[in-house]
Amino acid sequence: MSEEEHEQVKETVNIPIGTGNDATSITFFRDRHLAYIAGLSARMDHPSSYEGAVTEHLRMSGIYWTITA
Amino acid sequence: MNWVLLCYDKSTGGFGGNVGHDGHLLYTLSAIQILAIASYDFTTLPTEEIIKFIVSLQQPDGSFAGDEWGEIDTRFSYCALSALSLLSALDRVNVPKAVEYIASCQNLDGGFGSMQGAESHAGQVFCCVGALSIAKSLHVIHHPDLLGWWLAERQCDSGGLNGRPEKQADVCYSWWILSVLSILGRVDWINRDRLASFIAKAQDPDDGGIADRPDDMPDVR
Repeated sequence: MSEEEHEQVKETVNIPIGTGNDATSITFFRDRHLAYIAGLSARMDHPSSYEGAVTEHLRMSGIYWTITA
Repeated sequence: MNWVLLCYDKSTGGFGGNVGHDGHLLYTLSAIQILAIASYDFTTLPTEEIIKFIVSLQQPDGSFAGDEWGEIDTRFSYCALSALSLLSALDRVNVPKAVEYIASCQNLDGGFGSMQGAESHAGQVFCCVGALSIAKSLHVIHHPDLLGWWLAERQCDSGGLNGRPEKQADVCYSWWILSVLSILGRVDWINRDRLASFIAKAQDPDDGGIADRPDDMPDVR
């Protein structure tokens, strides 16, 4: 991803960490995270998805972790 | 919600992990959690059958089996107590006996394992401490400071947390371990900022999601 594209990432959240001279921040890519979560169901249900097939037996818990994420 | 209800297994009384699968405690808890988050009306559920399913899995020593086939694991103790708590039916099982079994799974290093004598593991620690908290029995934990120390020791040089000594850090333990430290009132025993940096580095800035550790592919679990 180029610097320019990075700037197009709309919704990011900066979380301050550290104190004094160590003060900095980390970036949470909120919109990318939401897009990943939203697209998960379609990817897992796709007939050719290996991940979808091997996790079929625990889909119920997958949904729990997806909605809580 | 309709899909969750389709996973209900009438023959056992519990929920399965997918449509047509046999009922299991793991997925019964997940189903109830999902329905609770969605503010689903529990009075329309076959609550009595679900409770009977959970009650039937408690063993004479207080432990719980995951399903009719009898595998014993402290994860199932957590699933049972958590699910019953959400259904306001904790009194239907023998809670003191359940607490006694979980307490018997604490090891000399302060941690808890999947059954008596099994190696301490951060995920099992979450299940045991979480279950004890639901049962209002945190006082049975021997040396909570030793347990807090074992949990704090899970923080690696990378800032991430691992599940057992000498294992690689994995973002998922951020959840399990922070939850326990929170229950024990010892969140400040690990370095918050270094853990946050580790998690931030495990993000995928292009396609979203968070991996188990930096440079791996994201997943959900």
